[in-house]
Amino acid sequence: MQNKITVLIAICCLFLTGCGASNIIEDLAILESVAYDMSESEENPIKTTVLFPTVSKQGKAGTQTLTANGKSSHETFIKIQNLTNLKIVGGQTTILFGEELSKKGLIDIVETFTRDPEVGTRVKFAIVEGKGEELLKKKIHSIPDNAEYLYTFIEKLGKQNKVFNTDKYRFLRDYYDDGIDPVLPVFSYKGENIELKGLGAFKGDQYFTRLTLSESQILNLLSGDIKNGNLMISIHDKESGKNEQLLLSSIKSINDKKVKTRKKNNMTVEVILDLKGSVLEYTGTMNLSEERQQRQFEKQVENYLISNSKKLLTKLQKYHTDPIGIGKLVRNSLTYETWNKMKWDKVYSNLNLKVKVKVNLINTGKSK
Amino acid sequence: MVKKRGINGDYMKERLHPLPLSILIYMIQNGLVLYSLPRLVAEYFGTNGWLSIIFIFVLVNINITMIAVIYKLGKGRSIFEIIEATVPKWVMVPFYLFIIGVWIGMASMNMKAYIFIYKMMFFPTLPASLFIIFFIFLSFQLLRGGIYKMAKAIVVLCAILQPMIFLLFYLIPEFEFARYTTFFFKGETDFFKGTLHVYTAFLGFEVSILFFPMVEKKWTKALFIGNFLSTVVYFLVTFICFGFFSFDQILKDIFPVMTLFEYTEVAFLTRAENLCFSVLAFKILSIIAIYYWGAQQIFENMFKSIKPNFWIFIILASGFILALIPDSLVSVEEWLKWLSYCGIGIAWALPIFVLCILFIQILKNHKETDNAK
Repeated sequence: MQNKITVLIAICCLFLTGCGASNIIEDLAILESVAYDMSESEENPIKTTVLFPTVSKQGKAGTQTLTANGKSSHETFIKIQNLTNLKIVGGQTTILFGEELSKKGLIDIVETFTRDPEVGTRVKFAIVEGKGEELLKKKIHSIPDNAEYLYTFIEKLGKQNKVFNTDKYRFLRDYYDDGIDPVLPVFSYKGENIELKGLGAFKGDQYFTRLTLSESQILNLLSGDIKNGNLMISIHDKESGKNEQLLLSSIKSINDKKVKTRKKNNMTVEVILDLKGSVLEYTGTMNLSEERQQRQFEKQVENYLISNSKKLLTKLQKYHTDPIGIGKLVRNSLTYETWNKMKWDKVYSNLNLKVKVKVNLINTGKSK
Repeated sequence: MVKKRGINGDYMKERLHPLPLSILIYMIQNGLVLYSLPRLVAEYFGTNGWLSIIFIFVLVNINITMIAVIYKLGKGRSIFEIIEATVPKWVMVPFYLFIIGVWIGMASMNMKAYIFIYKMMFFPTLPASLFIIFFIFLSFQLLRGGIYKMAKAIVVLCAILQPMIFLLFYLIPEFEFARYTTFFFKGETDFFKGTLHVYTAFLGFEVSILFFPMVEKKWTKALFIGNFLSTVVYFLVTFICFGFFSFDQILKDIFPVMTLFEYTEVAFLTRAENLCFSVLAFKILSIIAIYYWGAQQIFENMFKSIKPNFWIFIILASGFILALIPDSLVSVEEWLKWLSYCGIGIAWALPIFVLCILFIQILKNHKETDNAK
């Protein structure tokens, strides 16, 4: 008898916990995407746009956007709350930052997310060329829900290209680390579609420069090992004077970095790439089934990768941004005191960076 | 014939087997600290602070060895018998009351801290008293069963809790050795404070000093195994955190382990931190129950004529009231900090004190036998 009462009380306690706060799905605006921009007013510098799905009484699904200006990201949320009859709650969102705001610095906004347990660590981050607000509000016939489209877009990108896999955790991780800078994908809404423009490289929390898509590919190779990737390159053939297209697929690359810090004024970091892949497309004149020509061709690809890597590294050094994490390697080869005394920013821009590439074509497809 | 355990095969006086005992020790070592442990070691021990877990492990083992030695030298007598053979009971009463106070306080504050974090994460508007009633009620059920049944129940709770640790392996793709840095214990460090803080993560085993009359022979290995299990978990979690987060990121995050579980994404489970933290309630429940049980044992020894159930009510009522007092996470942490310091004091002072008494008794016996000769 006593046991029954015990069980009864325990069950009652359990159910009582549900009475505290209830969230009825029809009364909620579950945020799918939020965009932060700089507003025109000086008093309320932050403009927040939220997008959430709606269902009409006829059962038609759609989306709604609301915008408000405020002094901080949460103040804008309170203002947005006054614009709707629904209760706004966070969801598995994509967070967009306008170009202007990204260039000013994002950490104030991102840090408020870390306080809020509603915002998960896997929330996707991206930059929008122009205004994030415009991208969320843009109506594209083939895309019923911009936010969901973007979320799946970034997820796909992350699978193809590791450096594009950007979320709150990675952004903060690289921001707080002293030897690497974060990156975020850059989208544009100009034209008929939402388009990926490249990768935004940061210095601290400020967006400094945009890397093009082909530069992003090289960055991906230089950043770490790749198990299954693709590489589209166009090689200039000196003989014919034409540009030849080449698509390498099923790329497996091993990335090794060597640091020489003995000479303080002339530190060297060498990136050694060992790349294996198969040819899916080749528009040039070489006969790849012939071994000699294949070796020659491999050399061409190696040269292409070396020269482009060098170009990219020079660009990164020029903008003082280090998304590859070269600083981490240098740091780990120095003592704590030397690293802290060293002005890494200055050292980085004059650092001697070398790239060594070895390309092996595993196969050249089914035909000659 | 089925072999019966216990004293003369008496089921009611069944003795604790070392295996469930080691699980019990593992479960009653402070669970909530785990969630902030990586930050604590980073804050106080600096870069590669995860290594400090090993040093603390050695310290705790010294502490446990003292308990094991007492058991051996005392030949299975309970510590009350040992103490009261030399020191009169009325001298000990204030110390007993202090220990009771600290243990009840630690149990209640652990409970309140858990409830506050739980509320912050999942149910911000839910009254804390409801949770407290729930915990007190469950502890009552556990306490009524006595230590043997408690141990059994805690083993079951452990089986529910333990699979969570495997979720850590899903984080390996994000893991990078370069983040560990080659610097050891550099940065703004404070080893003394750090040792105190990290030591609280291992507290709980000190209650085992009351187990002597209830255990099978050769049980002391269970203490070491239980403590080793805790260390493995602490070590694994802090180690993974240092490779998963960047150093400054750990410093910024109040509960890095929460973030760690937040990031796990398994096909059938996303944001596992909700599940993990909810299941942690079982560990908290074990801790609460064992501290209350310890307090009850001391009370029983002090006033032998009063029924044990009476003490359960007194303890739970005072635990309940204590848990209601602090009204913010900061004040709970302040309470918990001071109570844990007292707890560490008890964990060291009590065995040292009992050891001293034992030596006096042994010396006396020697003299008496010498005189008899």
